[in-house]
Amino acid sequence: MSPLAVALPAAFALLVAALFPCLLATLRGEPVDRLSGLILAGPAATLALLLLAAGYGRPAYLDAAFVVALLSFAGSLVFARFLGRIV
Amino acid sequence: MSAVLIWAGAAVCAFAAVRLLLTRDRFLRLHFVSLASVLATPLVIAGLALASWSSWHDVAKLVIIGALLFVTGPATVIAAGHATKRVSDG
Amino acid sequence: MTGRDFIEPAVWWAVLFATYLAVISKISVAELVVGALASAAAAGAAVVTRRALLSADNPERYQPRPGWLRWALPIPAQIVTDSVRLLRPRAGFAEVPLPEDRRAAALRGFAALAVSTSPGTYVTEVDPDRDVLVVHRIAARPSRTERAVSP
Repeated sequence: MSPLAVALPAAFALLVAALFPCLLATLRGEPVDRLSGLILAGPAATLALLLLAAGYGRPAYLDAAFVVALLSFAGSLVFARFLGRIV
Repeated sequence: MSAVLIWAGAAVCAFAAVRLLLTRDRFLRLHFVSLASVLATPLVIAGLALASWSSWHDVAKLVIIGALLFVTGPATVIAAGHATKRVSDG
Repeated sequence: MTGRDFIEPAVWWAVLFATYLAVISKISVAELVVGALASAAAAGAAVVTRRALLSADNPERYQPRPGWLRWALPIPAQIVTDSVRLLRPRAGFAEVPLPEDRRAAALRGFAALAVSTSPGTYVTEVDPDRDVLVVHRIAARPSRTERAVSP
């Protein structure tokens, strides 16, 4: 098996596993503390989707990653603005 | 080479997520968010770009997504830092 | 409207359409039509935005100076050193003074982005009266990007 065929599923599992600390971080602390977990989940999910696209060899999945990257960015900004005003 | 880069990027992202969870200082936590956007993204994109794709359109799309993540990451961290400072001071 | 007024929207349209064609996987008539229309709409929005935001008579002066591109140079090396630093961080706040400039708003915005790109520092507050960025750092001394931005 090529090194990529072994590495890709393992790296994908690692990235998905990285989403769990992000999730846990959104469960503790004041609202503004939970924001960091939310923001990190955006790039982590996008990179996981990119690995999926490469693993299955379907370039169409890249569009999903594109949309997630854009929307997670916009959503993080909205939450940051919202949480910054409500003291 | 491609596998090494992808692994490195995934490892950086996982490291950032774990450190983010374990850090108590709310300002220090945001540094790990920036780390994932700025270091993990180029590593994974470089690794994926070196893999075989059916056409160059896909590699172009990959690079555009990577550039998007790289640029929007620090901007989001600034917004979050601003919010955190406002809440901490006020 | 003279002929010169059409150059800018045409350039925007060409760049956007080319980007669209670069990222779609199959080129068919439907895709070309959709791409051309979407690029036209986006080019219109881009021209209006640029004229409102970056024109020379905008009192807020958001137009960037080309010399500011040199702030991007220390960033790749800075990313590596800061990533290593994050294994053993020493968190703290600091102030980064900014040089005097007529384009103060643009300077503050672009400097904040340049300083925050590397994971070692990010901007938490901008003080427009004193022309200072309040940043959060993980090292005791200012990073190379911070020094590049300061006077």
